[in-house]
This record gives sequence, structure tokens and C-alpha cells, in this order.
Amino acid sequence: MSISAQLEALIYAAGASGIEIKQLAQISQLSMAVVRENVVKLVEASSAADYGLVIQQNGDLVTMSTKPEYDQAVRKVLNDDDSLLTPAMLETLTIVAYQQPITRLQVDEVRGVNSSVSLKNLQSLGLIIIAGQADEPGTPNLYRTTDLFLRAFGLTDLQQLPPLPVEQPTSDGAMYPARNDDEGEPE
Amino acid sequence: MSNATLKIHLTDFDGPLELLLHLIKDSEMDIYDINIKEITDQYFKYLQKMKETQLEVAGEFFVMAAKLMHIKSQWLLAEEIDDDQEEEDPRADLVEQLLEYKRYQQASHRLQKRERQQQKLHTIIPSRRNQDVEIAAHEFEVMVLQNAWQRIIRRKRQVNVGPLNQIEEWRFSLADQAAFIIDQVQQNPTQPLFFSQLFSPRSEPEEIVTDFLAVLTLAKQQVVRITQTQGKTNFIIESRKNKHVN
Repeated sequence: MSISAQLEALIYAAGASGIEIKQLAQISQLSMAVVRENVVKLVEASSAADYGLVIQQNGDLVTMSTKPEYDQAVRKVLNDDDSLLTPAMLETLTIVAYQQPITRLQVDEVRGVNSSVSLKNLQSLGLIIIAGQADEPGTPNLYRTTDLFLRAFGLTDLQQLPPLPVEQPTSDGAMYPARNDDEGEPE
Repeated sequence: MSNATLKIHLTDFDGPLELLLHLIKDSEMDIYDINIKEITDQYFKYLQKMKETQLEVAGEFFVMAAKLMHIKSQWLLAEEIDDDQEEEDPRADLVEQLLEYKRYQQASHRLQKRERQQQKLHTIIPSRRNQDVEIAAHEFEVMVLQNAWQRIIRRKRQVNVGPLNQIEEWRFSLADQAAFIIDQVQQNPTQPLFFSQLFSPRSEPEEIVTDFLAVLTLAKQQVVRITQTQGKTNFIIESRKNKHVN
């Protein structure tokens, strides 16, 4: 029995929810290192052009899915799968992703509105979790994103988050003429 | 103010910062040199329109209105004094806040693009025996129900022509609909009952709303069990064994 074939079967059976490296190791009675190594191989092998399925690793979560290029055809077989994220939820999730761990108040400050409903919804979708309490008065909850978040946005890890855009003053913006020089990223 | 501005839904447009950015962009102002008098006028006009169209205006919008008034008064004062002294620009904090917000707004658009790409990848729904799946109270996902509800309403709009925004008389009671649902579930215990089977496409919104609330209540009382269907377009209502209804 081939190790990678066995792992492939397990990843297939896990379906939409995916399966964690840890679970794969437990079920297959292999060490985490061996599992990781074989998952990397599977990810690579499945990217070959003559496979319609692709295996992805997002954080510790491994999932098998159809390839994006067959989206149109596959949609005809399945019911379509709309995004569950409202603009407010997406905005909240973005702020959590870039500033995690973060309290609700800090999210509110950036958005200028109360974000408690969005945070609750994101939690129920499993995209964020409470990752402890901030060491400040009232010990507010700290939120961070999950591996499911990585998966929903096709990221391998948080380092893959695209850099936060930097706002450049327009040429005729006379208000902060020195801004360009002073606030440039250190090289 | 353009009509296009008013077409934006409050759900898409849910904060004073987003509104301000929109107004600044619409009037082609430089974000580093906001015409504070004009933007304050526009902001107040917008709030007025929101009230006229009877949208619920969140408290944050008024906080921003007060802030704008404050900046405006400082601005007018500074113009009057005009003593060539380097005073701090009263707009500085607001501009910083707007820029910070804009950065995250742009980042969220980028993430949204990634999400759309990712949604082109489809996975299978794991095959599990339904009977073995128990949903504990803390695992209950409101979003699943919300999603089902939204689809039902969307489909209903396509079938029904009547207005959805007026309810003349509430003729359905929670107790009646709950009894009706239990009856339906128990009539044929082996057959799955889909939520949409409880009413016809021509049912009035009150009926659907009451049915929906009744199902939620029954699920909470653990009288029925709700299972999500494949494709998330509907949900199944099942009787929970060993539970008796009074």
C-alpha cells in the first residue's frame, strides 16, 4: 500500500471540510513529518496538467477539489455556491487578518462602526476564532483567523497575504508635502 | 447629489468613513485637501435623504456629523485669525482615519478577488450517514439557516409579484405553525421533509416567516432536527426520536 495513495484517499473522503495533518497522521499511523512530506508531494503531483483534481494545503488543512479551470463545467453539475460574506464581513475579516490578534474595539476604530455582528458571523463561519484576551482593562477578546480562512482565500499561510496597500498622496496634494520622504518604508 | 449615491444599500455601505470616502471621490476632491465646508454640506444632505427614505441611520453617522461640524468650526476660526502661525490642520486626524480605512478597503477588495478565484475550486460533500450526525447546540450555524432563508426569498421574488414590504394583518401564529410542522414531520417519518415543502411558492411572506420561526423554535426545543441539504439550497426537518411534544 502506497503512503501517498492512502493519504490521497483520506483527503478525498474528507471532502469540503478538509482534513488536518494531525488527523491524517493519527488515522494512517504515520508520523507528522512523513505525512507532511507526502502531502507536499501530492500537492505537487496534482498540479500536473492532466489531472482535473488538485490537492491544496492551507496552514495545516489539506483539501482536494476540482481545478479552477473546470469551474464552469463543474457548476453545471453542482448547485452554485455563493459567497456568504457580506461587504461588512469581508472588511472586518480583512482587518483581523492583517492586524491579528486584534480586539473588537481596534476593528471598530478602523471601520468607524461597531463590528460585533460581523465578528460573530465570521466566528460562526469558522473563519476567525477567539485567541485569548488582551491584557488591558476589561480583558477584551482577541480575534485571529483560522486555517479555514486561509483555505477560503487560497493562501498557504499568513505570509502569503498580499501586502497592505500604501496610500500615495496625489501630486497636487499640498497638505502633506513631506509625507513621501518621511513615511517611506525602510529599505 | 446624484441619484446613484442614493441607490447604495445600507448593507453595502455601512459606515460614516465609507460614506465620506464615497462623497470625496464623487466630488473629485483631493483626499489630502478636503474642502471641509462642501463635504460637511454633502454629508448632512445625505443623512437627510437617509431619514427621508426611512432608512435606519446608525449612531456612528451622527458622531461623524458632529466631528465634521467641529472641524468646520475650527477651520472657519483659523481662516479668520490667519496670523501666519503654523497651526495644526484641523482635518489631519480625519484624513489619517480615512486613509487607514481606505487601505483596508482596498485590501478587502483584493482578498475578495482571491475568494472568487478560490470559489472556482469545488469539493465533494463528505458522505456520512445522516442518522449518526448529531448537532450540538454550540455547533449550530445560524449562517446555514440564513443562507437557506435568503434563497427562499430570492426564489419567491421570482414567482410572486406582490409587494414584500407591507404586511397588513398577521394571520399566522407560531403555535399553529409549529403544530402543523410537527404534524407534517410525523405523518411520514421515513420521508425527509424539506423546509420549502411547508408552504407553496404563492404563500404570503407572513406564513414563511412564521414557519421559519416555528422551525427554529422547534429545533431549539430539540423537538426536530435540522439537516443541511447538499448545495445548501434548502434544509431538511426531521423528528427527533424519544421526544414528546406537549
